[in-house]
Amino acid sequence: MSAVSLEPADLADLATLAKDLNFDDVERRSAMLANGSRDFNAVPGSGKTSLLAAKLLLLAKKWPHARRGICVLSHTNVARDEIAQRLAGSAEGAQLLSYPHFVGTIHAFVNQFFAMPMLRSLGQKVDVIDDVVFADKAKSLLQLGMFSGLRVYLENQNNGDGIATTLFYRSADLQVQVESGTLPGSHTASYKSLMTLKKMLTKDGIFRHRDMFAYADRALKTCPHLVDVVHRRFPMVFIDEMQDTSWDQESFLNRIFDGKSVMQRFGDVDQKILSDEENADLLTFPRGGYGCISTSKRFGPAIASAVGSVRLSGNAVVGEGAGNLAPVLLLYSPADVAKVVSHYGRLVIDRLTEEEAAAREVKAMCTRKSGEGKVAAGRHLVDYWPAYGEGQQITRMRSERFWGLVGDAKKSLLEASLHSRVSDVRRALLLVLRAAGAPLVGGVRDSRALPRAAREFGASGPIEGLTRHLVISGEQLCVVDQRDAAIQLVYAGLKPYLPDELEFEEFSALSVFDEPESQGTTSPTASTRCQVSHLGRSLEFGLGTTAGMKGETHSASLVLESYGGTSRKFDVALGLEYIAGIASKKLDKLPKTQQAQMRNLYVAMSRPATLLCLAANEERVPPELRTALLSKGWHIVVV
Amino acid sequence: MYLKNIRARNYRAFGDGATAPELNWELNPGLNILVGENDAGKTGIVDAIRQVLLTTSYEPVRLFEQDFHIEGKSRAQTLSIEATLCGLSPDQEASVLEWLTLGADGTCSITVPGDAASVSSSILPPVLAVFPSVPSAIPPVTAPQGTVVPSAQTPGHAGTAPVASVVPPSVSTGGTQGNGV
Repeated sequence: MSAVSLEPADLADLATLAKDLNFDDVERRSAMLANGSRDFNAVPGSGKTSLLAAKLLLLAKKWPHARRGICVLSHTNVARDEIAQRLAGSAEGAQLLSYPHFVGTIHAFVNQFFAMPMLRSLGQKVDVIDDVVFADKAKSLLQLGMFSGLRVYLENQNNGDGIATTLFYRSADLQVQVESGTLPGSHTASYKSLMTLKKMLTKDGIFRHRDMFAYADRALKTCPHLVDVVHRRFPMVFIDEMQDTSWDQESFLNRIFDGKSVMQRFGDVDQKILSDEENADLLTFPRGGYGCISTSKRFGPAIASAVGSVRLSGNAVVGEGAGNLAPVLLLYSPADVAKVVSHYGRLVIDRLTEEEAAAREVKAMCTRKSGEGKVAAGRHLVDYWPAYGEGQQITRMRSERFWGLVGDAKKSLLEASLHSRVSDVRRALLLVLRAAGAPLVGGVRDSRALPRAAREFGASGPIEGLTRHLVISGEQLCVVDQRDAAIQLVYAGLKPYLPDELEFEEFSALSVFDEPESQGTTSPTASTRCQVSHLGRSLEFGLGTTAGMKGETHSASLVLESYGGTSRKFDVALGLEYIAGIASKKLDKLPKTQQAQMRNLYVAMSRPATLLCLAANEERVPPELRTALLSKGWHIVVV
Repeated sequence: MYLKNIRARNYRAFGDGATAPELNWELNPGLNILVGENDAGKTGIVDAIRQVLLTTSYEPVRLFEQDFHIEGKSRAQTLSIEATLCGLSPDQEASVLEWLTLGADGTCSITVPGDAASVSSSILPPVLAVFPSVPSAIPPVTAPQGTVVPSAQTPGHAGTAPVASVVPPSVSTGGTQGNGV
């Protein structure tokens, strides 16, 4: 067996590896020392990511193999970065970040080890894997004359846009399906046009994330013996945030790892907030005999009891954190809905010391971002913060603009490897060369192929030099008043590859150098951040969706009420009944849509370490509910 | 594992495939015998294999200016050598999983590419040697008198393999040659 076992004696190293962590209790100790395949269900704030990172450090110290590795999978890049950051802190841990190990998202894993090799072997170019870019390109292709019939068909559908923009491949035979709406019958002309559309995008190398799972399935179908190969490379597999894994993903991982590698999965089944997907009933997490981590180091007993009362599985949540502030309910009248967020800011300044507020971030969140609904205010984030989301378009188009790619290094220069920075710059140069009609890039599918194409063209020097220059100094070069000089520099660097007749004037007017259109006057930061001054102190905090703040720890969190649409309930109003202990129905007897709302509420309420604040429309909180809350030790504040 | 194919362009006697024939030789598992006249390129083939897979003997493997093919009066400025390895054991496949080529017949192979450019006639900036996109884990083909530097050797196929995913030398070269090439 190639897996490595941890012994109680190894835990002694923890004192030096992770000084701030404490794994003395029985539950955490047993999770640390578990050496076989097992699932762990852990409450929010139990430090499961810290525990996983500590365990990986110990394993890295003992890892004897040069060509076999540990595979660490997470669901989001945020979680991946958090683990990677902890590992990078020590020499042993840093080894896990490179060959033969893998630390990354499930998507990245499937891409790197299965989908990309498959696509490469098929000779299929890959330009971009991105749902948003796919949707944009699909919409622009739809404008072609050949799709006029399809356009008419889609216009007559409820969700025509959704059909054309969510075409994806499923399973090894690359069946085309849609995520939203339904495909027309396979004998119809519209169906055939949709297939043509997907084929054209595939030929251009534009894919959706889900397509990669189909190509991964195809890889296993093409080379079935790989099922017996993968576990040799990764005898140990750790999966974080297991509750967010879809059945497509889980079944793929089970095929290659289950019963072959040691597989330990960590998660909190109550934090599954994307539940309305297919085959959710097949999911196996957590499997029988799973371990529990039921104590939270994040928050104290007051928050723990509130959080526990909206936990769907009904398991207790024990708070061992230091915080002892009473949770607060903010009530507002519909006319004052836009004042709630800043009122909360002042409340935080009132109740938290400067140190407490600065220890972690202060945040405000809401389950819904925007939407319709003929009900009184407090429906979604935009109700509370009308500017929310404005100006975000710019970042979305980042991958298509020269200035976005070169001018914003996004801190990538501080990373140990310049890889992501280099690929951004290469992509920018590829876009320029394409726009300029340079013969060099005719067959270039991906910016990674650019250096090779330049070599085959006979001169890789200028482009490598220019790439280096832009990687290092691109940010300074791209400030607004220097852009002419920057274009001049790019022109000079790329001159050997450009068509002879292309003069500088024409070159600098290429659309790839256009400024990103500005979206009104709101800057992207102003739309997601709130600034408050009170009692001589000032506080700035972020706003966002619950899904976007999963896994975060805040010093104070505001949970803004939202409307569930088809569930016909407001999440905070419904949740308060359970928190106050006066609900008539058990949580698990609620309809599915309302259960989903409660899961979101559970995730949102379990973020803060010190102060938990809920906000609800006063019309939806009857007097008896207020009385019950007060008797539970809550504070009620009217905006 | 065995060497299934060796390709070389602009290396010694072998041309670019357009004006003069390139090397593109399919080998069999087991014994392969090279027969040819003097100066036909037999040693060139063996050295091409050693260049791309390195060697277990203690002789250093280096590229010299005279290794670049001469056609007519001019010497080529770039050369490439590519080896394809087949018949990997499951453990060997596992160690290079992300760089495998998946054949339609269900077999897997791995292609090890190598490229070099002559520096004397090129305008490569001197910083290229430390340029971050060049995988530093690939042992440099030492350049005598500063005439030749290796350019980015990216693992995988036709430049589509992720550049950051550097095959450590022990895998791309030591490993393959240690197992019976």
